[in-house]
Amino acid sequence: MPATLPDCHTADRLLGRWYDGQIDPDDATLYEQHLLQCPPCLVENQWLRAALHALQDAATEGASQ
Amino acid sequence: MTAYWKFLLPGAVSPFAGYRWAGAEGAWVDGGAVTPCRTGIHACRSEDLAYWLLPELWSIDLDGVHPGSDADHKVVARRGRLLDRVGAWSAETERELAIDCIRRTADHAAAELRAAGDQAGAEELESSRDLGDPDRRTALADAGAAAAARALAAGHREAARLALYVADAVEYLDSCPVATIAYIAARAAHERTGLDPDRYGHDAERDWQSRWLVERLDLAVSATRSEDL
Amino acid sequence: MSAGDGSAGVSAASLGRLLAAVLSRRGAAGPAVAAPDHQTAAGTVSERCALISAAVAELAGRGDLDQSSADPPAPAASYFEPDHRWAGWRADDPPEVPDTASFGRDAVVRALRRLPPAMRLALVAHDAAGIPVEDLHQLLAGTVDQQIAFVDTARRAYVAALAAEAAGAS
Repeated sequence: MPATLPDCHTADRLLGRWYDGQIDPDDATLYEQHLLQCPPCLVENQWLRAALHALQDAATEGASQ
Repeated sequence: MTAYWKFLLPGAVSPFAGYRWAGAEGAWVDGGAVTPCRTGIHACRSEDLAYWLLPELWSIDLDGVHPGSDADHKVVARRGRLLDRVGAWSAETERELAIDCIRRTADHAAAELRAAGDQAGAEELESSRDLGDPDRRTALADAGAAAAARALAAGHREAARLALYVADAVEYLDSCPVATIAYIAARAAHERTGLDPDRYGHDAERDWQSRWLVERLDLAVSATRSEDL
Repeated sequence: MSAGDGSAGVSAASLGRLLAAVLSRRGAAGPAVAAPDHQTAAGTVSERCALISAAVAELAGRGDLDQSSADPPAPAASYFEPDHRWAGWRADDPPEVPDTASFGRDAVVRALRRLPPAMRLALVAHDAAGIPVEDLHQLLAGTVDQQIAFVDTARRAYVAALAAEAAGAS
C-alpha cells in the first residue's frame, strides 16, 4: 500500500465511482483507507449513501397503493 | 485456527457498507459473491490491524477466504461471523496509541532535525515523553513549530515538514480518530531521509503500530498467509 | 452499492409518482403522470428509459413540465493549497453526521426540486430507476464522460440540498 494516501480532493472525485462499484480495487482500498483517516470524508461518504438510499426509498414509496 | 479481526463503527456498524452486525454475533453472515472490495466479508490479520483502526474491534471467524485477497492488508471471505468484542480496545487505549504515535512522530522529526544540524531542537522533541498532560502536549507542539521555522529558514524543508507533523498530531489528538494520528506517524516515517526503505519507513511504522495493538490488547497473532491457501 | 441495487423495488407507478413530484411545475400538488394499470417492477433499461421519457412528455404536453433555470446549491469544500504539507486535504470543519430520520419522501422531493430540472431527471433516472450512466444518453444529451460528471455534480448538489432541508427541519 502506498505510504501517501489520496488527499480529500482526490477522495471527493472517487466517491461517486466507489459508490457505483466502478472503481479499480486498489483505488477502492486507498479510498477506504482515506476515509478511516479523515472524518470529514467519512461523513461525506455517509451523506451520499444516506441521501441516495432516501431517494431510492422515495421511489418505492407508495408502491403498494 | 487463524485469528482474524474486524474493526467497526460504534454499534458494530460496517464503515463502508453500513451493515449492522449488532445482534448477529455468532451467526454466519454471507457476504455474497466474493469480489474483493465490493462484496464479501472484509477482515484483517493481526499484522495489518494498524491499517483499519476504528472504535470497535472484534474477533471474527471467516469461511471461504479468497486466495490472494490479502494483498492490500485485508482479507475477503465468502462469509464471516463475529465472535467476541475486544474489550481492551476502548477510548482509553485508543488514546494511549494516539499518544504513542505522537511520540513516534516526534522521534522521526527529531532524527531529521538532528541530521539538519538542529541538535537542540531534536533533543527538545525527544525529551517530551509525558504527553498525557495537555500542557506538555502544547509545549511539544510549540517546540515542533519553532523547530520547523528554524529548519525552513535554513533551507531544510524535509526537517521542517516533519517538525510540523508533530504540531499537527498534537492538534488533531482531540478532534480526530486515532487512525489520523497513526497515519501522521506513518507519513512522518515515510518522509524520513537517508534510511533503508526496506527496514524503515511507512510499512515499518505500520508494523510497529500493529505490534503495539497485539501486545497491548493481548491478541492472538494471525497465522502466516500461506496457511490459508 | 451500485446504482442499480436500489431499483429492484421501484415499480412503474411509484417511479411515475416520483417523476411527477420532482419534474412538474406544480410539484406534488399536481396530478400524477399516467401509470400502468397494474404494478410491475421496472423492466429493462430501455423500458425504464421509455417510462421516464413518457412521463416527461406527458408533463410537457399538459404544460406542467418544470423548465426553470435555478442554479443548483454549490457545496463548497476548501482544501489546503498546493504548497501546503497537507495539500489537497480538507481545510474546513467536518460536516454534521446525517440524521437520516429527517430524510422522508417529502424532504427528498423538496431537495430535488432545489436542483435544475435536468439534474433532477439524471438522479431519478440513475439512482432511483437504476439506469446505468452509459444509457443516460436516451434521456439526456452528452457523452458518457459528460454524463458521469453530470451525475457526480447532481449528486453533490442533491446532498447539499438535502442537508439544507434537514437543517431547516431541525
